Amino acid sequence: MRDGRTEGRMGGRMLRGGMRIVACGALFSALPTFRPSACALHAQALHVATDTFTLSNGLKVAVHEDHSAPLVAVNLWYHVGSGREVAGRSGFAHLFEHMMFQGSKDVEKGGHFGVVQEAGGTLNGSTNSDRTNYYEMVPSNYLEQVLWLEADRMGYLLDAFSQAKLDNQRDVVKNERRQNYENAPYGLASIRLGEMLYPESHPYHAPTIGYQADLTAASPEDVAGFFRQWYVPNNASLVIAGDVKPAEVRRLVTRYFGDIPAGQPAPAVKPIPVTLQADRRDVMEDRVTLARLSLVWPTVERWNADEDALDIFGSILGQGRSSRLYQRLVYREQTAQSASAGQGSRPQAGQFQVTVMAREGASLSQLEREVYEEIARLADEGPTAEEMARARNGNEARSVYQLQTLLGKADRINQYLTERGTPDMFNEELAHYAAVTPADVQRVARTYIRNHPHIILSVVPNGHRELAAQAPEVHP
Amino acid sequence: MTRRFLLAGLATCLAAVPLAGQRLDRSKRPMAAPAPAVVAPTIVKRTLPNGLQVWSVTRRELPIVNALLVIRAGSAQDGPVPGIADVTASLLDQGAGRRSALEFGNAVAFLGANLNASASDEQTQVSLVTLRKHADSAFALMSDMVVRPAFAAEELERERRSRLQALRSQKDRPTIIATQTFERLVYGADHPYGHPGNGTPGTIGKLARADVTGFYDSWYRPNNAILIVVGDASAAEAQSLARRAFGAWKSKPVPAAAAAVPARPASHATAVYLVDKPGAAQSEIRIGHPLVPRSTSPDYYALRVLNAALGGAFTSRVNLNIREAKGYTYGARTTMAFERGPGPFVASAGVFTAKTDSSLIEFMKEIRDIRGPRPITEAEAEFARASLIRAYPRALETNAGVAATLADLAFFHLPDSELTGYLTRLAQVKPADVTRVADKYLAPDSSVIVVVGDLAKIRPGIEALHLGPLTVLDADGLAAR
Repeated sequence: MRDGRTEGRMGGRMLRGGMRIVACGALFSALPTFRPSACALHAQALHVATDTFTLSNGLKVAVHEDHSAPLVAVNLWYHVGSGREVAGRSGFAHLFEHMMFQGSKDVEKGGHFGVVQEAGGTLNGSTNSDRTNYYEMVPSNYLEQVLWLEADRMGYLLDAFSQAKLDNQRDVVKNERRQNYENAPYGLASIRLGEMLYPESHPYHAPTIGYQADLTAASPEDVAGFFRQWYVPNNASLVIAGDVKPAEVRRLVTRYFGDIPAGQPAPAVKPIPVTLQADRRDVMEDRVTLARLSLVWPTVERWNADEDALDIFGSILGQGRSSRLYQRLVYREQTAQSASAGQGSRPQAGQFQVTVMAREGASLSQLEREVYEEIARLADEGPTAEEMARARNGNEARSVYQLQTLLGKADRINQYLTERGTPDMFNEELAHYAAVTPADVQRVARTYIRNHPHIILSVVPNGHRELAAQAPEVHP
Repeated sequence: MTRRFLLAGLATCLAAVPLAGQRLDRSKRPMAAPAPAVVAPTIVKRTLPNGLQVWSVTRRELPIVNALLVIRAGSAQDGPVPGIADVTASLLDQGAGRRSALEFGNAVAFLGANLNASASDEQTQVSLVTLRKHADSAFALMSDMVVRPAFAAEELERERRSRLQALRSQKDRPTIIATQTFERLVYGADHPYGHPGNGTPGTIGKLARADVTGFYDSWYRPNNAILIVVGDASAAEAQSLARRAFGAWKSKPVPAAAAAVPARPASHATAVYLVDKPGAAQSEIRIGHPLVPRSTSPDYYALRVLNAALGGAFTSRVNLNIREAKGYTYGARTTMAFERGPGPFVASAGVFTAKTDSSLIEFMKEIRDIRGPRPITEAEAEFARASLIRAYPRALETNAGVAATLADLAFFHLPDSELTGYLTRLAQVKPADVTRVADKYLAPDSSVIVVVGDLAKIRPGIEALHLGPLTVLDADGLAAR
C-alpha cells in the first residue's frame, strides 16, 4: 500500500518545525507480514533547523521554530553540576537548584510554579554531575512570562534569599534522598558504584544527591558564592523551541537577559579518564529479597569515537528481550529475574555497566561467570548481521521518537550547543551510529571490557553475605 | 474539517505592557499575549464488520504512527483469579502467530517499534509506536499478539515463576505495600478494585492455562474493544491497516454480569492501619476512601477543580503546606481516580520518620478545612480552572497524548463534543461548587489511613492523635499481627 505523497524524493519533505527527514525506500511495504529487507534498513537524515545568537554578556541562545502546536518550551542550562562541588559540600549543586524555585527579587516564593501552572504549563529542573537545567513548557502566548521568571532568578536570586528558605529546602532534599536512595531497595548501591569506580578527586566520585552531613553543612555563604561563581549568563545556554518567531524571541531574550552582568568565565571542562589496576569487589547488605550483581568497567566519555560501538555492544549484550543476557539468563536458564547492559557516557568519563538481578536460590558467582562468557563470546565471534540491524534500526527509530516533544527537542539542542558548540548534531549522531561495523564492536569489547579490571558489587539480603559473588579462581 | 476555538475569557489581566524604549520594570509580571487558537483533533470513525470501532486522527508532523487498542476488561474482571487480566496481557507477546516468544521479541526490536500490553483496573491496552515505513510489519505483529497469541504452556510456566519472584520482591518497596494495603482495606479483597492487579502468590502459584485462555476468550473480542490510530497515516490508510490487522478477529458477546459497573463498598468510621518496616528512613502514608463514578457524576468538573486546589499540583494546598512550608516530605499530593465505578480518593506522601504524626495532622487538617472551615477562595478557583483549561494543548502535543485523550472519550462513551466541552464546563465551576462537592464527597471521618514505616518510632505519635481504632498488620499488610 502506498499513498500519493513523495517522501524520499526531492530531498525530503519539511516536517515538524523545519525538521527535514530524508526517507528512503518504500515507507509502506506491501508485504502482509514482516520480512527483513535491505530497503527497510536505510537510514534517514535528520535536521532540526535552529537560529543561534549570543548576547553581549555571553548568554548563548538557540531558537527552533515549530508551529505544529500552540506551545513553547524554554530550556536553560547552567554549566555546573555536582562535578564542580568543593570538598565537604556534596549535593550542593542540586540543593542550589531547589533554591532557584524559592523566588527572586521580583518573584515571590512559589511564584515560578504559580506563574507556569496558572498558564497550564509544566516546569522543573534537574541536576546531574555536569549541568543543571531548568525548563518550562507553556502555551506560546506565555513565553514572555517565562523569560521574565528565568531572567529574574538568573540576575536577582540573592535579593530574595533567606536562611528559612535554605533550611526548608535542605529538609526537602534530605527527604528526596531518603525517598529515592535510603528507603528505596538497592538505592544506596548506585552511590557506592560511583565511589568505587572514581577516585575521591574525580568529579564523578560523590553522588549528585550528596551526603546528609554535607547537606547539613550547607550555609547561606555557600548559596551566595555558588550563585556568583556559576549562575552567570556567560556560563549558561538558553533554548526556545516551539510556536514562536525567531526575531520576536531575540527581542524578548535581549530585553530580559541583556542587562544581566557577565561573571568570571568558568574553566573549560576536559575528560578525566579513569583506569583500574585490578578488579575491585565489594558487598552491600540491604532490605531486599533478591540478590543483585553489578559489574562496571571504566570506558570512554561522551563524544569519544568509540562511544557508539560500546553502545551497540551493550544493546546486543543486554538491552531488551532480544539481547543475549536476557535470552540466556532470564529466558532459558531462568536464574535471573532481569539482566541489562549498557554504555553510559558523560562529558568527563564513561562507564559500561552490567546489572543482573538473581532469582532466589541462584548463585551470583555463577551468574557473574556466565556474564563473562557472553562478553567473551560476543567479543570473539562478533555480532550477527541481524543483531547489528536491530541495534541500528532501534537507534534510528529512537532518534525520530525523541523529536515528539518540544521539551525533549529543546534539551537535546541545548546538549549539542553546550558540548559541541552547535545546536544541530542530530544527523551526525545518527550517521556515526549507523557507520559502526561488527569489527568495531569486537574491537571496543576487547579494548575496554573483556579481561579488563572492573568493579564487582553484590547487593544481598540483610545477613546473607554468603550470597555475594566470589572472585573466580581464573579471571576470564 | 477542523474545529477551532479560543481559550476565551480566561486571560488574567496582569500588568500594562511597558512602552518601547522605557527602562524594563521587572517588578511587573508581563502580560500574556492573546491566547493562540487551539485545534481539536478531527476524528474519523468507522466500525469493522466484526464490531471493532476504529478511530483515526491524521498528524503529519513526524513519520510516526501510534496505535492504541483498548479492551474493555481489566483486573476488575479478574473474578476468582486475581491477576489473570495482567497475566493474560503479559503473555500476548510470548509467542504469537508463527513466532516463538524469542522470535517475536526479535521481530519487534528489528523494527525499532515499541509494542506493549498491560492491564489496569478496567482496561487492557495494547500500544504500538512505529516509524511509518514499518507500519505494515508492526501492525502485523500487533495483530498476531491480539488475535493469535499462542499461550504456550511453557511460556505460562515461565511467566508464573517470574511473577512469583516479582511478587516476593515487591514487598521490598514500602510504596507498593502501602498502596495495595490501602486498596484492599478501602474496597475489601473481594471487590473488583480491592485486589492487587498483578496477582497474589496464592493465585499465581495455582494458575492454569485454562484460566488464561478463558479470560482471553471471554474478553478479547472486537465488539469489546476500540482501536485508535494516530499519526502519519491518512484515514484510508488507518482503516486499511486496521482491517488487515483485525478484520479476521471473531466477535462474541462478553459476559454481562462480570461487565457490570462495580458497586460502592460499605463505608466505615476512620481507622488506622500500620505496617512495620524496621529501620525505614521514611513513612509511606495513604489516606482516603471511594469517590464517585466518572460517567454518572455531574460533579466531575467541580471535583477536578477541587483536586487541583487541594493536592493535584505542586502549588496545591497539601504540597505547599507539608513540603514547602514544613519540609516533611519530597512531595505530598492527592489523586482522584475516575473509573466506571467509585474509584478512590487518595492523599499520599513519603515523609520523614520523625514527622509521621505531624504529617498526618496536616493531611487531615487540609482535607477537613477545604470542606468548609477554610473553603477554596475565588483566587484559588480561578488558578485551578486556568491551569486545567490551559493545559489542554499540552495534553495533545504527541500522538500518544491524542490517543490517550480519545481512549478516555471512547471508554466512557462520551460525545466528541466533550473534547472541547469539558473546557467550558471547567470554566463554569464556581468556588461554591467546589466547597459543596468537597463537603459532599471528602470523608475524613470515613477514611482508611495506612502508614508503612518504622513501627517502634511512629506508633506512639500516631496513637496520640486518636484518629480512630489502630490495627498493626503483618509485613504483607494482610492480617492483623
